[in-house]
Amino acid sequence: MPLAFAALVLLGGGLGLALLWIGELEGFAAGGIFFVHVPVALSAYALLVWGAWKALRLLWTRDERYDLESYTGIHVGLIFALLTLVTGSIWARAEWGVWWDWRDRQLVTFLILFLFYSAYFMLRYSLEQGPARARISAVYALFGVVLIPVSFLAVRLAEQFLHRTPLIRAGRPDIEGTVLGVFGVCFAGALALAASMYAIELAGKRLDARLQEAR
Amino acid sequence: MSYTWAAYLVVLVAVLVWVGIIALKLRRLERDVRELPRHD
Repeated sequence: MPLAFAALVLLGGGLGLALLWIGELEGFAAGGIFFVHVPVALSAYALLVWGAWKALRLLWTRDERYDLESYTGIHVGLIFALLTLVTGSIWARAEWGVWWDWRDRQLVTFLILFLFYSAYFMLRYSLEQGPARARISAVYALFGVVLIPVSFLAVRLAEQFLHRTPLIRAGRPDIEGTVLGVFGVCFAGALALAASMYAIELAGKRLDARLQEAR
Repeated sequence: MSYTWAAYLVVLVAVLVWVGIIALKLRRLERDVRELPRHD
């Protein structure tokens, strides 16, 4: 609960500051979306990496408790990934005049990442519950994590930029001062939200599993 | 309504929907716990 409260205060406060204090980022149409889109996207990456890390732990130790942890990380990560796509699409409409642009490599690689992890659930629920399902799901989750650096670096590898990166370019911060501070608060809030959603879902799923055993 | 507000609203609605789903699941779990056969 303290984590959920921290998320509420940090994200609410951060976005409030972004709206009232900073307004729109210079040079961007609807640049205020930056303060929600980028923290949510980075949190999605963090959750998917966390899910993959737990999958690796499962394969390494054969301890099945990691299966539920990996699954929950990927589930919450996918919610954040969907929010990234939706907020990104709204930003694209404001910035480029279209909801989606297939030429933008970061958009497309992020969509591939989202679809890949969506298929994780199709795979998982097509298998009988047990150690085999846990191992196959873990291997799949580990394959998916390879897409994360590709997605993250896609915009930097692209020759022609559509998708601007107002965070770090050529090794130096592209935003500084107040904007960077407010972004930090929003990012901390998004991470706290991700962590609290993960913890609450995991507690519920563990209770559900224990109930099934008790029956 | 500006695009920025729309994006913020999307995140807020998503979190509220998630909270609603979790609340429903917790209620179901609570009911299941009550319905467990007692061994005393």
